[in-house]
Amino acid sequence: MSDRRRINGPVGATIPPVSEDGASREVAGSRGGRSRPPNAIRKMYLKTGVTPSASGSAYLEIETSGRSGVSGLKLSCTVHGPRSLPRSSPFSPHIILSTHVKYAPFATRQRRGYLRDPSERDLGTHLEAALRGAIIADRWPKSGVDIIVSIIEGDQDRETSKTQGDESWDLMNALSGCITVASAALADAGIDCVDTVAGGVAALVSDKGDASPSIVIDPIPSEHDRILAACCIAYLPTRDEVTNLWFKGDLPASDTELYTKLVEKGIQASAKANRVLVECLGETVG
Amino acid sequence: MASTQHVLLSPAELAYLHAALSLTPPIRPDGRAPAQFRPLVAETGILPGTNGSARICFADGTEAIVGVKAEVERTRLVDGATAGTEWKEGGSARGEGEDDDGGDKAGDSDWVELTVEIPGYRDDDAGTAFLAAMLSEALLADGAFAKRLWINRRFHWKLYLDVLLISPPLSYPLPLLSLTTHLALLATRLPRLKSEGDEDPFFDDDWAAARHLFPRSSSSTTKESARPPVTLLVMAVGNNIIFDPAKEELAVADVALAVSVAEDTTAAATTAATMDLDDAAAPAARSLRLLSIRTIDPPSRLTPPGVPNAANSAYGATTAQKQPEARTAEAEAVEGVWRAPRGGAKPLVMAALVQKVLEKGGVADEILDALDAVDLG
Amino acid sequence: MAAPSLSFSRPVFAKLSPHPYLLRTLAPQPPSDAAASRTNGRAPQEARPVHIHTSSLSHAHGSALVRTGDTTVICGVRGEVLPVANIPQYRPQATQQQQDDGDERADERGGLGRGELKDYDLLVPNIELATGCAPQFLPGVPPTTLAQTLSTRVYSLLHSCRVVDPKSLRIWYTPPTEVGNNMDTEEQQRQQEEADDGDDGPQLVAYWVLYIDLLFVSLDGNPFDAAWAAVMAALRDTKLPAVRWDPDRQAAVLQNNSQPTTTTATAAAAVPGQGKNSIKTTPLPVAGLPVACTAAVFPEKKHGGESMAASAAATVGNRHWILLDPDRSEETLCGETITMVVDCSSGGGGGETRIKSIEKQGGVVLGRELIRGFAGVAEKRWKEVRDAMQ
Repeated sequence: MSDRRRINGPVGATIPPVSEDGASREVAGSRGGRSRPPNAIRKMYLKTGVTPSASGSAYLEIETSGRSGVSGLKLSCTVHGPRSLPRSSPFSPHIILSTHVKYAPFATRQRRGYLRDPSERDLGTHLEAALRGAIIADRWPKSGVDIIVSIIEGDQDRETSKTQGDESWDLMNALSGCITVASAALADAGIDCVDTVAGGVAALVSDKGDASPSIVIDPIPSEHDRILAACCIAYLPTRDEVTNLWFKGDLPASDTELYTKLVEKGIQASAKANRVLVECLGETVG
Repeated sequence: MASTQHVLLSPAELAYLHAALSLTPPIRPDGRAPAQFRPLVAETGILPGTNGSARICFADGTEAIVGVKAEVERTRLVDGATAGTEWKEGGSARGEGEDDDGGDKAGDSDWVELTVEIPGYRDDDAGTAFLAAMLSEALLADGAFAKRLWINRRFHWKLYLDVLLISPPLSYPLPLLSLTTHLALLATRLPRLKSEGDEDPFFDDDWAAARHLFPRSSSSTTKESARPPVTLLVMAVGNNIIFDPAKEELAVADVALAVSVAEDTTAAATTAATMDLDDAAAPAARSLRLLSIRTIDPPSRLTPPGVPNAANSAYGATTAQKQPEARTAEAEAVEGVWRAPRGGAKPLVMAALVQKVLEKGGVADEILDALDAVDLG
Repeated sequence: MAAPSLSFSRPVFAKLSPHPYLLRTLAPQPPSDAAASRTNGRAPQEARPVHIHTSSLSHAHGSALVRTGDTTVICGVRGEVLPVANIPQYRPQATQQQQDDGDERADERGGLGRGELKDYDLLVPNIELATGCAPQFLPGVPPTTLAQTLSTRVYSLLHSCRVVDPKSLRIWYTPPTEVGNNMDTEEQQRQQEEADDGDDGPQLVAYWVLYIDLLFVSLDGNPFDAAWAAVMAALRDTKLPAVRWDPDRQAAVLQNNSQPTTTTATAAAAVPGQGKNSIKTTPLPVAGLPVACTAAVFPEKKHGGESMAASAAATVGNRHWILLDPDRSEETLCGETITMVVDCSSGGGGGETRIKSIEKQGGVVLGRELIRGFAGVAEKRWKEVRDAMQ
């Protein structure tokens, strides 16, 4: 069923050009290893007030890695509200959050449609959980706030031929960016929060050279041969609390040590992102 | 959103519930022990038109049906380099054995399509999408599941899982849906392949010859084959950890987690990370693998707060006092007055929750044992 | 009479009764010698400066970010391949012939080439406003009327200006000397036809489809000008990868620089791209540089018709101002808008101005004279945008 409210293009299916056969690609790709130390996050650029007509807005850009063709994350977030709920909605003693996360059509390797797909809805739910813990919701009864994150560019290697599985790890990086940028936009909108919340990702990776898997923070899937597990954490540093935890992977249960360490590193990543966030807000929001 | 549906409890009731659940040991409204599941009725093979199906009915009246349908689908060659190149290279080094561990033989996550239907919710509702994502995430987490759907280099099974809640969502349906999905997948059988190699597949008509998607060895002494994961809902109130919370209990949760675990099968497993658990290969204790954790936004954050007497004008708080009083009331909790939790959970609490789920001989074990007992027909 | 007793601050007044406020700033009272200006401080015919960045997105084949004042729009162009087998009403004869005729003539006539673009829908522009770029555009609803209108306007302008040459979107395949043995019947048939022509040359196997996606990050009036500038900048930035048609896979395969290529299948004139990452690319040829220029007409009388008391001067409201590049608050006050698309690029920049399109909506103020005069304004705007694009 085509969407008649948009311009849909040709009836026949279009195919993105496929890449050259594997052999030549691996030579060309030469997936470089990680260029940063294992516990360093990439440089971030954060700016508030990019959309003047919104109550609050922010733009986040995460540095591209050294290799060409690997894009950094670019996110823009707008916050509209708090505003009164429509008359038809039932009484709420708290502010109602609605979060939307949408990839731009040109954000990823494959072109995205305009309708939100399940993974975007899923990200929205994660974001909601992360922010709801931070917002002091009972200060605005009977009101709602819309938080909209547009992913202008996803964190993906354009060239990698190993598409399998990578995408799901990309979601984690995207989510951590969404949390950080939304937190900045909330602060820009002047909505009371218990603390600034930032996202952080840690992953258990195994590289060809290494004997045993190691834990890195802020991983770029294309820089590693294999990601065994990863977690994305939204963390409130001054309260030492986690508002959202998303872990995915495959870990033996007998070794909870590994899991604990992973979460610890995730918190570390989040705390680092938070420092950037606070610095940025200190300059602009004041 | 299914987890944050409106809870019709007054602040006083919430405060009472919270207090009762914080006791040691906690007193749950339905008298269960903290780690006890609700009793359930399960059956499989209820839908003759499917490859596998199951129905589970919880004692509180929630009921779910899962149907699994499999179709043969041509592996897209143009999509991505992997599939295409693999075919073009021709099978030389890694040959026919579908059990060999070639990383790029891994199935595509597109091969599984899981839809969740909750009555009263749109199918594009964020909560429904969240549930579906959680269930399929656990299924696909180890990458081994999609491999089971591999037929040959040109074809694969496409699995459609339809997860239906057929009662109103009286409690957060995640554990129910996960258990039902687990059972349905256990019961799923795929026709036996008769063709060989990369030719167009054709199958044995005889349903009796069909093979289980998760084959189970008859003798339980040998290493059991893999089983689909289960997702457990666990929450913390005060110092207590409570499994399978009912709706009212979830309404006062400090933190709620959905934890997906699977049985660890062959210790020779896929990753280097598993090396160190061979020593735990005692036949009795099954070792578990942690596949995914998600924070469930507890509905407690949306509950109405109570008003302490000090700030209540009916109890003599004057209006002049009210403003500063209200501020302090916001800052500090008053004993016995319900306040929606604010902020997140301490990392230690979360770690404890996960630890509890993964415990040897713990709840996860119990559940898997119980599901073992279900007749797969 | 409201003005002397004004005790509100300016922004409050502007919000409470925007129309008189704008009127007062545009027509200052005799005692004050302030120059006529708009509430945003611009002169009536002054547009906001344009800033353009290109090539900032790595997944798109061409991209641009355009900022004029507080309106920010991002455009990404991405090419995908449409095999002719997927075109339901494909007419191979027409295009084949055109190829043989020599392209010059076909281009002059324009008919066939344009038909190709339009019939096969090779350009797909879409505008997304639901990013919270302004309070009234929130996600979760179908595209608003404005978004639909803008998409359609960009679509029709792309076709009418013939910015993209369909020739550059064709993908050719030269069959190896021995006849391909594993072609499907349709292709065989086409090959047969070709053989009839006594021509064993390259055959047209697919087209590039350009998906032109626009995302508004921030919207403060005049979305069309910004969107169109972004489309043009992104198209000029577009570099399509060189592809080789693989008849076995029925797909276009990217060519690496490292691989010596025997079959030539590049689009149009194959300029060796300054490839980002070892994949050969070819800049998309873009004809001309049409620039849109929008103005709104601000009437002294409100739309309602009741005359405003704000002006103490005796002249009762027939005056009007043409506000170039209106912002959001001005747009809400103006009922009549004009958009003129001009292109002065023919003949090396200083050449004659070609008016590509004129659109006028609402109102009766703009007559023939004013529109003619407006062409001069549009010309000035063209130079500004052209400079920003360099």
